[in-house]
Amino acid sequence: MPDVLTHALAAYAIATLLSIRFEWLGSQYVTIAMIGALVPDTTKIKLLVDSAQVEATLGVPFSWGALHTLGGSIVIVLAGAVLAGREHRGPVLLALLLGMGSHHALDLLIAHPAGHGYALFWPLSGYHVPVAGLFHSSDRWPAAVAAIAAAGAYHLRYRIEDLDRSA
Amino acid sequence: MLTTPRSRIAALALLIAVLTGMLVAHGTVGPDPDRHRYPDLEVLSQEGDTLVGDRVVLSGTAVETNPVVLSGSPGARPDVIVVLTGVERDVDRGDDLWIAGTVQSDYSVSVTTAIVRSPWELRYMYVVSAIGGLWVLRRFVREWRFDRDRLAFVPRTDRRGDGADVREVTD
Repeated sequence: MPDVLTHALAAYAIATLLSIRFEWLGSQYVTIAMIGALVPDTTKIKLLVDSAQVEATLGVPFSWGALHTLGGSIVIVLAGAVLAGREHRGPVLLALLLGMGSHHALDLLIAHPAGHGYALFWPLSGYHVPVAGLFHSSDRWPAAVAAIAAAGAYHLRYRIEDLDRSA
Repeated sequence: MLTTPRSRIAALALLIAVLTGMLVAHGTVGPDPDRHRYPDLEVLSQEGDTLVGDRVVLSGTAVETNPVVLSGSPGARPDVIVVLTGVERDVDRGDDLWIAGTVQSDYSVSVTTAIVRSPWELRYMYVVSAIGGLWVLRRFVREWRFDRDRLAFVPRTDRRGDGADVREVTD
């Protein structure tokens, strides 16, 4: 998976571009989309508490890997929407789903030595989906490309707003 | 739907229960080469020679370079080392290795694809990831607040045009 900054920048770019078309998708919901883009990476909690440690402590099978699947991600997204005020719940849900989707889409582009990434559709399917192998998670250029895309989206979004105002 | 604090707490409890169930269920998922789920270092350490001829995907650190020897990350389990043959990339001691290959006898693996990363590349990844996380957190704190009365996150709708917040974060 690319680094967190690349995911956040990509979600910012996509949500900001969509905000040109969808008025409800204001700056605060762009932020929610960016949070959605970080949801699958909650699986990185394993760097702090290893799955095997939890397994040994609880005495039951356990894997943080569930968080980096559509199933686990969607449950977290739903919890996020429940935490929002009632009138904001719909937009929050859509923004979280947008960001979460952008995360998984980007992760399908990275390189994996076996050519297949992870069980994207788990728990529906345990099949490890093929990945494009365009870059490695520690490559520097994806963040640069995402930053340029984010700057371009910002420019387009607010330039159009200025043009609208002056029209 | 979900209009009262009680119903929302019940919904959250249900979602947490579902997520916990998923974390446990995912712990039971084992290798299945037909679905491109290959044994990892932990499975290799447990099943050893029964995997001879099978494909594995291993990650760890290079502790030797001639031949290349992969070890699980320091402090992490399982505490095993694997000799890698056929690595066609330059490897320095301390490099992060992520390989696919076929298990030979005597705990060696014939590598078909290797992704080799220097320690500084991983450090870069963690640093920019922290920057990304802080950026998102800063935006969230500036644009959203926790309404204690409603027990819900709501936008700071009373922001002034100059971007200054008129309310403090309450949680």
